[in-house]
Amino acid sequence: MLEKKKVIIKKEEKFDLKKVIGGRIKRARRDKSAQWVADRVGLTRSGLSQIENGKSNVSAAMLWKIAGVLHININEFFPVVPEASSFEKQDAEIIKKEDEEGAKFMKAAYLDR
Amino acid sequence: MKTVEKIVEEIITKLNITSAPVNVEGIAERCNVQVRRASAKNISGLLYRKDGVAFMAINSEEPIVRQRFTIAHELGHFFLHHTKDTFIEYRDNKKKVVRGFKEVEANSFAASLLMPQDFLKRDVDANKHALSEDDVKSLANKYKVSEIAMTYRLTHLNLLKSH
Repeated sequence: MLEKKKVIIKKEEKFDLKKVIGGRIKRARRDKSAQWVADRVGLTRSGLSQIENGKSNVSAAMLWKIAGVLHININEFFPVVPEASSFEKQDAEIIKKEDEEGAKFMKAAYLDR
Repeated sequence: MKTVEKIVEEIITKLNITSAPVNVEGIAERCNVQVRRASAKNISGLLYRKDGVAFMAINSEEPIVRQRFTIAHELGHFFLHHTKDTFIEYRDNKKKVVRGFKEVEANSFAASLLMPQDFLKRDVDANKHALSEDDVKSLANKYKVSEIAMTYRLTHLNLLKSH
């Protein structure tokens, strides 16, 4: 159980949205140079590189501009939004109405960590 | 109505599962079913669902082969017994007679998923002689199931008779 927990934490540390978006911009401009894109959206070449390498945050307005000059849809810059639903205390309460041990069991698995 | 065997076959094809042991936890993950473990006295597994996702708890005290069967069993409820609302499914570990039609169905789903018909037939056909006790044992090891579960499955598929 402990090992599994470690893996999950590692995954979360690894996931950097800035890097994901930056990488997707880089991929989306294909054979167009960074300078070419930067000129058309009002950035410096190095400013765009910083974004592409995940070193700086990009604004929604800037993403929209970049999508425009590359003729792609803005949502292509984003990974899928993770499932929001999670097991919560009130779920344990619902289970408790039917079975106390079941509620304890689920709590131990999902909430007591 | 589709048989449980048929439904499992479709899942196996769709998820591109080609060899044993079947990674039941991976299947759960791919189907948006979370699997976590904790210890419990009288429960082997529990499936709770809401908002189109599901949460499974598996008893960490039980042997791995039993845990795998429990995950597969709960996946059976997940796939076969669709309910829109919040729903709780148990698999208790008391050795009493299996209750109800749904539990029987979930068990046969689990057996079909862990020991897919086609895989087993292939393995048994590769064996020139009638299966010995050791053969059954090594099949159980290969599929990561208990020997009892393997024997039951082989009998059910009529694969235990002598050639």
